[in-house]
Amino acid sequence: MAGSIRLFSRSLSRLTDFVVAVPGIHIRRDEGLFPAESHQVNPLLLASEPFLTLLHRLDEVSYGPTGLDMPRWALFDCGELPGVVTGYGMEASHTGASLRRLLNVPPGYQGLVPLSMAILIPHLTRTVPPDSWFAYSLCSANEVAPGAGPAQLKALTLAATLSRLGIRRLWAIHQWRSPNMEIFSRLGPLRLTSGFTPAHSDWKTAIFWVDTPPESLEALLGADAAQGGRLWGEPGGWLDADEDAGLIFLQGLVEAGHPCWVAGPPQTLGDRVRVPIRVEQASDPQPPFGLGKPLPVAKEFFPDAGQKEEP
Amino acid sequence: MTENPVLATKYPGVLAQLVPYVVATPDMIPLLNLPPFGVPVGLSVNPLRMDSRPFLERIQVIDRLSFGPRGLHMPQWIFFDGAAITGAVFGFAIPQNQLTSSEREVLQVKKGDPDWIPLSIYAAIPSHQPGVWVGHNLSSLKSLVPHRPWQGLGLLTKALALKMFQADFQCGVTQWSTGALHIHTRFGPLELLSAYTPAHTRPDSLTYRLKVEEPHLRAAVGDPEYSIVRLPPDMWLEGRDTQAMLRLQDRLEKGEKAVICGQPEGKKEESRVPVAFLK
Repeated sequence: MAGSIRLFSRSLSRLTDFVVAVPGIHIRRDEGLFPAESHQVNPLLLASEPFLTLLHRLDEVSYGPTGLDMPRWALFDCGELPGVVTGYGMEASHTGASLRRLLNVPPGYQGLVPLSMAILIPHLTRTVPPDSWFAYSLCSANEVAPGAGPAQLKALTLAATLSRLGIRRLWAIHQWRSPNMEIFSRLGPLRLTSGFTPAHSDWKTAIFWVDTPPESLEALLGADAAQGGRLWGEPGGWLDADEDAGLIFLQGLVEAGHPCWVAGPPQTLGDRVRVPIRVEQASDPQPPFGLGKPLPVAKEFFPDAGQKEEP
Repeated sequence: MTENPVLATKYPGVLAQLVPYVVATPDMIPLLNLPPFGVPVGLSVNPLRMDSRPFLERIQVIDRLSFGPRGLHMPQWIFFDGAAITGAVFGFAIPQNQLTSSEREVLQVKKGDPDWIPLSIYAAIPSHQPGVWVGHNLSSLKSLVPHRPWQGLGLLTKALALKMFQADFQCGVTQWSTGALHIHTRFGPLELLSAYTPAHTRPDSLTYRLKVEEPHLRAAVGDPEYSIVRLPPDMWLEGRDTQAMLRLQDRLEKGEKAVICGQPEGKKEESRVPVAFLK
């Protein structure tokens, strides 16, 4: 791992990683990977207010345009209080004017300015400390102010989060077209628990988990990532991330009990985003949602990109 | 209907006309204590299934009618991410065909709504502290249909939910002047974690931690065999007194421990809340 983290030595010399959580959170310090102490912020204290305001602003500028930003109360009730907000920041005096303008950094503010953030809550675990977490937000200022932070800041944020919290299984929720799908798929094959999610504000949302042994951080930060990631086994076919019919069919397979996996990073081909999918036979198949007919072979439904080309 | 004689006596209207429901993923269900206090849960909704949407949309209606006027309405995706698939939601629902036309109107029931209409909700998620759940949404539509015999709907919803979560502690955030404190304080003393909370949309919010104890749950729902010992108040905090909140917050940050030791007096902005300091 030491090799991969060295690729980020310039960033790590300039940035400070932070953890916002109420007291009692278990934060690990990995001598080989993230040896520095993280900056801890207690959201219950009055003194935390300026930093939390900047954090809320980062969420707002990142997700506001799509209506998926968090009201401040929700960031507190559903993030800072039960779970954690992690990320990287930089001392205000070292930040550029465009970033300070973007985040409405008050004149004279001397504290940490957040550049990236992930929000996580423990999930389906009784381990102490929890080793299974659900990430429902991952963003960086780079998306709205390119160059505000170092390249690959979200991947670095995710790696630090996995290490700091000792996460062994990571759950996440993202829109199929989100760039974050590529980052998460570096960690390993993503087991889908939902492929089409009408109960969410954005139906084209995937929910998945991925096991994250220590070596997964190498895949997240290392040379494979620079090459656009790797496939985790042979995909059964490719899913068009913009086609409702395919997403709904995939969801039918999930609901029927068939283990479905994202087998690698999405690929962009012309104006299509295609996602490698592997579908396994269910040990105890349930009637597929709304279909009432035998399941087609996965390969027939997820044709190779070559077969999907326009004539 | 329940075989629990205390609940059957105290909440006959709720338990005769409404059916408890739970929203949770199949992975979460085995971690829940079902049925809570022997009250059978008649409806289980898996939020990961496509056909769950109509019911979850109706829960959004409860939230919108309850919290919208205060600007604390929960966007759909937050309810989904921050409760339905990561925690659990408990409440009571009524079959749509048992609503009158005027009730359908006041409850904003539309064509295409599900067969079951949820009327109350308590949503919570587990925290990183073992045994601690954070409850972030308690509401009911009882006030919109006051003629129905559903007294205690909110209280019973929270009591059964806490039993179902198997929580050792429950944390929550609410405003000093909100009516919900009348319900929360029924379950025992609320340890104050913050008295003034700028991290929240409403800084005049308090953060509390409740030790969830079986005798206290039973006392809260009216079991005469149980009671809660309460400290006498050292001070009363008025629901609109921001300076008093800041002074109390200062004492908490300096290490003092305080609890809301009883029920508020008065209503809404005119209310005052009893606070005791732990020696």
